[in-house]
Amino acid sequence: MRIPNIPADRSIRLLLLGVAAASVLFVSSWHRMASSRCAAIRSSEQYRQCRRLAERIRVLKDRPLRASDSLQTATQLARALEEAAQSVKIELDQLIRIDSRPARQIENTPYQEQPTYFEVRGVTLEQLVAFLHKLATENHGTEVVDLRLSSPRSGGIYAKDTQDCASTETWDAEVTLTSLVFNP
Amino acid sequence: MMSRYRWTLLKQSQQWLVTRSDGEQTASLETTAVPHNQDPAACSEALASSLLSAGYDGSGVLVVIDSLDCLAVSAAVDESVMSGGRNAVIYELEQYLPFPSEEFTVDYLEHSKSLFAVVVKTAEFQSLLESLENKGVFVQSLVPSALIVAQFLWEHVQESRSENGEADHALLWRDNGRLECVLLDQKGPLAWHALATEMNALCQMLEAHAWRADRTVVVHAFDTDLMSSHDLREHSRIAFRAMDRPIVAPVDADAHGFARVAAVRAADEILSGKSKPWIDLRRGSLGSGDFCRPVRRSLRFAMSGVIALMIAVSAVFWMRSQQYVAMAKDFQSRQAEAFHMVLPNQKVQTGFRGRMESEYKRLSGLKGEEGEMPHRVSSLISLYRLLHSMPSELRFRFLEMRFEQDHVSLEGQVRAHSDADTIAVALREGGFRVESPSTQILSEQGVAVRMTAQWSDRP
Repeated sequence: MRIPNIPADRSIRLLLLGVAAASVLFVSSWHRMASSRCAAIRSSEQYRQCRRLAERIRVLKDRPLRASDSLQTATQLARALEEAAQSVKIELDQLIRIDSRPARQIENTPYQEQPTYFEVRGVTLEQLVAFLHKLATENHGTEVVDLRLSSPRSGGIYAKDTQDCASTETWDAEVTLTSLVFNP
Repeated sequence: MMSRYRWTLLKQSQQWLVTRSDGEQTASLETTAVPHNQDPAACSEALASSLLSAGYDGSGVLVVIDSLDCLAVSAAVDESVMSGGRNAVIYELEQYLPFPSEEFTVDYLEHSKSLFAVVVKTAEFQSLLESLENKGVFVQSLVPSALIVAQFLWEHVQESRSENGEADHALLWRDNGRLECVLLDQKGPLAWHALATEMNALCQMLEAHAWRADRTVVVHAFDTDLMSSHDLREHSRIAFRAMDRPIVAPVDADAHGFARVAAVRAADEILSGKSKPWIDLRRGSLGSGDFCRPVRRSLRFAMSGVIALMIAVSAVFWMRSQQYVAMAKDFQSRQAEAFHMVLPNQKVQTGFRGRMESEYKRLSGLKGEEGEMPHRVSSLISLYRLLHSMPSELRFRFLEMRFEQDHVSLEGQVRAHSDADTIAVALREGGFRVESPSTQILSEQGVAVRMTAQWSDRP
């Protein structure tokens, strides 16, 4: 016979086990809460960063490109020059030389520079400016860095200008274009 | 929570009495007799059964043993022995006892140069106590009946104690046909004698003690017939006082009942925590072996509370973590929303921030957001600035123009040397820094001019 409802050693042992189990539960739930809290904080921080990045990306999207993201082949460059020339009524036989040079890394930057040298003959200043402007605007990151204009040495400063002479003043041009390529 | 009743197992010569008291002086004392001349298991079974039938609730039980089960030792002991701890005292006591130290359990009180010890044979009670414990009876203490009665009566001779400050005292009463005498000084029991009713022998012992200690012994007799049966004038160092019994109702008048009820009253005070027994033999081999036994209920309650608290706090943690998970998911979906708003054509499900960072870097690189983009000046702009700054009233012509970003080299013809300066001034006004032009008369008409210029406001 045993007196009921009397706490015995077993009850203490069971309670100790209960305390141990409750401790495990406590620690694991605390750990879960701590890790999910960290995850929430991290997620909130990431969201803030995303919002900031989104704003910057939105601003950047509205800006013009100042570099391209890939190198152009010689063929692509030649085609671009021909198309631009034709669009401003420069005959292809006036574009007498195209020399694509290898790209080189610009020191301490993630950029490469790809120079292209070409010559055009007998173009008006208007045609030349339109041609070069078209090249620069349609090929992102392309700039005219070197331009040499020469005029045939005919007549002199005292020669009388005629209407025809003024409208047909032509120039020979040696141009060096460089394309800036972002290559991190 | 305090139990309503206090429970005592009182060992008499032939039987165990199971008593239940509610602590009130006037309350009736319920008793159940259990014969103890049987094996411990059967005895404990019967005792547990009696307790249960009387409504035992698991509170502490005081086991009060008969004087005949005990041996009392009053011995002079060196201080070095007493300072050596309980084991040293036990081995010191061994010389006064008829059995080895392994076989007895002892508790003692220390005096300045002596000690008072009470000894029981361990084997006589060990099985019974273990068996009671196994049946769920919480044996709080194991005490000799006479000593708790003496402890109870000691409180009732307070007046006499203060009147005889230097004297020792003896408490005297009859119990179950024996004469019980406990000799005390102000610190507690010095000796305990349980004798046949030989008053003469007892008085001789007390007289001897009085001469040895050089103090008067005041004898408080709780049975008046004890004093009438002996010639008290023979003892010059013993003063006799007849005392009224402190317990009136419901105890019957005989001496047997007085001792029993006094023991139960004393047990009441011990169980209620009002006093601590002088001698408690619930120790050593007779101990419960369960250090937390006296506080088991409180411990169980506390542990249950701790478990409940931990579970509750864990639940709160769990709910909180669920909220954090929901927050994290919400922020994830907001990230996705922000991502698809600026990069609508990209099918990305995770890693939005990383993807946006790389997109931002790419756009920064392509659109010159980053400071490391090389600075270049278009020669077309130099051409435009040059043409825009040329004087309109002057006749001149350029044969060659060279533009290297913001540098300009000009070669041409003017009509006079001063015209070259006019052009230079015009260029300066147009934002160029111009060095002095060089001019040379041509063999034909006119003047050849060369000049170089650079943007003075270079971006």
